[in-house]
Amino acid sequence: MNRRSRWLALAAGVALLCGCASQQPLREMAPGERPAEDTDEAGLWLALDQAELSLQRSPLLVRDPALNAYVRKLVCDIAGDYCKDIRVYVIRRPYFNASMAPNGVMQVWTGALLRSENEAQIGFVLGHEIGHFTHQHSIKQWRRAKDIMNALSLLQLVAARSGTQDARDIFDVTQLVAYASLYKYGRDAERESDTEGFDRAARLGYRADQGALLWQGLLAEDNARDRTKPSGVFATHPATEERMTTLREAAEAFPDAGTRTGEAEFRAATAPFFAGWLEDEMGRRHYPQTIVLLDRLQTRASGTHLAWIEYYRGELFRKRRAGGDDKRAIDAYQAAMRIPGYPPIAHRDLGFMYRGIQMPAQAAAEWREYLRQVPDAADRATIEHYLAQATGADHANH
Amino acid sequence: MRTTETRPLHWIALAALLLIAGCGGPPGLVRPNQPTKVARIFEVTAPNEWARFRFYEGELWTIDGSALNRLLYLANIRDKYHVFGAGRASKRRPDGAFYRTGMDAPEIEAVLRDAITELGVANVRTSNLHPVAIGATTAFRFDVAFDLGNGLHYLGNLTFFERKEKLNLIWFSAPAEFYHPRDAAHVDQLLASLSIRK
Repeated sequence: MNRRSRWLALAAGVALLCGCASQQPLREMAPGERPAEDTDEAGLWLALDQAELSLQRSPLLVRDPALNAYVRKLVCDIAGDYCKDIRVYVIRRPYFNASMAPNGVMQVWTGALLRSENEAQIGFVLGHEIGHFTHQHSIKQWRRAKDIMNALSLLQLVAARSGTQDARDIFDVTQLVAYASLYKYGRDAERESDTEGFDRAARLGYRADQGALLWQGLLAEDNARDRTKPSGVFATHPATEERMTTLREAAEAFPDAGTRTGEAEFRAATAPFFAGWLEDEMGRRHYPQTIVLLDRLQTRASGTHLAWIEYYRGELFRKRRAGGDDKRAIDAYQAAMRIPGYPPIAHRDLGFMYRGIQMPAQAAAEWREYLRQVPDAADRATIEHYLAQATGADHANH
Repeated sequence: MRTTETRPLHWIALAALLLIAGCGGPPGLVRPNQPTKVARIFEVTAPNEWARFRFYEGELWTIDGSALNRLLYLANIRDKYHVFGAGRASKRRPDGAFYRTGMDAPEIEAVLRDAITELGVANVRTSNLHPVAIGATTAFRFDVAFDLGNGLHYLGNLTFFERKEKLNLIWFSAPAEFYHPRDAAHVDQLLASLSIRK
């Protein structure tokens, strides 16, 4: 066997080792149980319990009792006997995300709540996270990562000792394969949790097609993204399109599909936060994605929610400044103002839109209306400053 | 469950500034009651002593360390550039906390609020935007509050103005407990002395 063959054999051995990694048996996952203290899992839980203490102090935590009680109840309905093992934390972050730690800490980001249209959709997301918990994906992935890193460390030592270019090349390739296998394992875990989430939500009588509909909305946002997408080999999650298709097929094959969406309950629980979550979404400044989201929200919104959507659509176009955005912004602000209960700030910002396109008289009219509706506005001095600029100091006092 | 990216801008902007400041050698000293030129744009008279770190188009002043009291001066932020120096708008990254010439004051306030949020702090709140006359220039000032993950609550204010189609700003922040109450009046005095190079 020549030197190159020996290296190939060694790399194959490491690959085999990686493939066999994490075969350590998992404990019985009975509700209410913690791992035995003499296990590596208990050590992981200890660290995560410490992290949970930090999370409890986090300023990002949404502490509203009614919203927390609502999400908590949903989690309990979906988790069944595992309810008592799970602590739910709603986190103020405008991205679509939720996560589950092996010690039972579930995070639900406000971006996921904003993007869900009803209980059936957020129920699928919560069920997915519960799936990670019951299948013990985190501990499996953690052990797998440890085993692979140990194997790679050994190979690196041998490669360094050899000192040949062949050895270094083979180590580099093996390392890439090992990392890719880690990511693949993560994607498989996501697929398994998708199935679990679907089953748990559907068994409660929620409409089976809602998980796929949620992913359809997310796929539209993803496709609008103007930033580079990660490589499929190193993606942490399956492609959104694949997840949507899988869920759609599962819904079509589900024998006892329920009709419940829980839309009214979901809206009642999240309505007080709608405008704030939209403001956070705007703060991301990912305008192409936000346009898709606003379009989707608009199809189901009514009343003041619709007014807020139109207002933020106006804000988006005013700030983006692409060709034709001036008119789009004006149209959106005016659409907002036709809805009873619209936010008066629409007049202020329509005024600034007019100012930007050199229409001072129209700007002044909007600012006056804003100050009439909000006489004690905190930014009154600023508006009066611009009003004076637009109309001349003599008119500013009218 | 994550499907959308989180922005990789956390800490980049301010950390880069602080790194540059830290690499710039030992701090200088701002002597009390002496007019001090800052970044070739600002001139202020501080009633108390500050350590100053100079970097390109800006300075960082502190008394007890930048986590406890910080005056950040940034000058000459150009059209389509990130307000905290995290790059320029591009085809691949068209949207972000970029300054655009001709922005109105509430829009600049919103850009700065979003940029502060990008630094990784939480619950950024801005309020009380109002014009401030500095010589012949109209600047604007607003109050800023935010929280850190370690539980510290910060207060402060941010003053900004446009000069030659570029944005300039002074951001004061300090923990609400002890440092802000102690230092705010001195900073108000300092800002009241502010003059701007023509």
